Amino acid sequence: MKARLALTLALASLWHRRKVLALVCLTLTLSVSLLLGIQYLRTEVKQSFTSTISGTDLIVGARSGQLNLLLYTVFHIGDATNNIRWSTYQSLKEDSRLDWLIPISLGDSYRGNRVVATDENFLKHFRYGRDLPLELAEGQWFEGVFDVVLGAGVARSLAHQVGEEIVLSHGGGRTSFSNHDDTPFTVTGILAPTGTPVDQAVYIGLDGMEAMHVGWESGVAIPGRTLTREQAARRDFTPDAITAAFIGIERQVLTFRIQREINQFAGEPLSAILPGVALSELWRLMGQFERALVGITGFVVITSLIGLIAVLLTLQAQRAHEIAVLRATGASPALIASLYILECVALALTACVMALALGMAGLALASPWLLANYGLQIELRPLTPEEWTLLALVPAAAFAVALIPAFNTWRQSRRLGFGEGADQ
Amino acid sequence: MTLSRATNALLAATILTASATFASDNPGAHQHGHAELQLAQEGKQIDLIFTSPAYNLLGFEYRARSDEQKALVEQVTNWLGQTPLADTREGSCTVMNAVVHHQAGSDDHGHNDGHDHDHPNESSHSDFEVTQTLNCSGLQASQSLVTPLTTRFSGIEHLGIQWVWSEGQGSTQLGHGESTFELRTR
Repeated sequence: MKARLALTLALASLWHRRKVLALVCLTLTLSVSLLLGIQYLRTEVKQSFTSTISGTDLIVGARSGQLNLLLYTVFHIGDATNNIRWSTYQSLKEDSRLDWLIPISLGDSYRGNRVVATDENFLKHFRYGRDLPLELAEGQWFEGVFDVVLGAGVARSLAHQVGEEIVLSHGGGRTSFSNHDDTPFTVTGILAPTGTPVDQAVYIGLDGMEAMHVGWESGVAIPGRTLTREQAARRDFTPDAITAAFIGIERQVLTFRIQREINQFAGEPLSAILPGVALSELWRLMGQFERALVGITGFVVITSLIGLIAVLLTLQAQRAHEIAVLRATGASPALIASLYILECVALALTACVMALALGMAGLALASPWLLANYGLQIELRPLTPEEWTLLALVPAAAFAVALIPAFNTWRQSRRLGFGEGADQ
Repeated sequence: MTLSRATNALLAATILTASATFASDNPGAHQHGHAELQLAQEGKQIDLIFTSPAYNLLGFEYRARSDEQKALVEQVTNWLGQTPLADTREGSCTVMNAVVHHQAGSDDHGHNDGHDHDHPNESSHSDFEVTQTLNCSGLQASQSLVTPLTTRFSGIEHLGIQWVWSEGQGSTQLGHGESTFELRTR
């Protein structure tokens, strides 16, 4: 009976103050959204970073540190110190334990973006995120010697279309003065955005890489020695060396054994790294960055909760008249307390539900746009236990806040001397 | 003229091959206080390789001289051969096969599988290398693993752990006294 009375009274009171309450609810929703948003972004940034490459069991390059090898092959940061011989790559290819190999040859650039020379295995076997394959948004993968496929970011920022001809530059750097003018490449395809460094590179065949360097033996183009398209079509371009190779292993349990064999390869000094291990090491190095994000989340949690408390307290202070009337008509302090609590918790819960709905709708709408325009991969996913805890803090704080005016009413009634009888 | 050119070519070829062989054969890193544990999990089976400088496990790196040192080497070798170096929290792993390899023993190396090994990398430093195959019931359900290494040997200040499992790859680092780690992808 009492519970029903409290509920009816609370509803009537809420309805009476609906305009103010709507505003308060909006404020709360925004602060809860901010709280969840920051926490969500923090985990997604890590996820997006660590899912740059997946499905690749080993990366093999010339002898170097694992971070260096990972940075120049996957993130396109820094340069290789040495290459590996084509014959070594061939002998790796003959190993039946290896499922697939993707050769990678680096060194040139296109307006500041890396040129990656590879073969069709890159499209077939390279995976990122949660085992996602590469897809072509337009056109097809390269086939001819002078065909090029663009990463989504390159195509977007330079507004290239399939069928256009582009001239690649010799060496790295944004403004290169030596261009491969004699051997322009035709865009045959554009990759779909991935949110990884794949978007910021252009892809050509290993033969294309060789062909555009014919006549460049001295480091610059010697007029008359470079190839024309017709000449190139008649020649065979087997490279002498590649920069690195991505490897997929049939039975993952053999990964460490194969890694060890490659590291001890007698033919030439090689390094085989586990990309997943190297990525987690790299993320550990950037622990400072993650700590900063955790700090920001902490501040946001504190600020939002204080904001929430302030708004609820102000709201309850405005109810002095209403409460006085209720008390005068014989409502017990317990009933009044339940009114306060019901209202605060109901408001907090509504705000949580609205914040969740707002966040989910916002993400669903914004994530394709973020990926297409900024290369940011933020996926919709269920909340983690941590995030549920954060969310639960909101009604819990509201409950605690409601106790303050409830306690005040009780104390006031004691002072006025009409507490005892009314309590029963 | 031709002779000298041929000699030069021969010399160059020798230098090239020699440098290539040496470069790929340079000795592995050896850092006291640090040890590495590599785990590969497939179903209920874990294959692991543990490598550590002998100093971390024994407190010395020369060949055991006194009886006391020989006994210590024997004891550590037996322990490494019989104890699962990674285990579930419930301790459900059993050692199916183990090979302990080192150069600190009195007879150059100790192992408990009866095979002979050669030592291509004999140097003043000596390392322990343990390979184990474990069978762990209830492994798929439990992602949390325990290693006794960091508590058993005070010489291991940090233990780098790398793993490969059906969900991907990952790594972590345990300090001395920390024994639990979570198999997670990255």
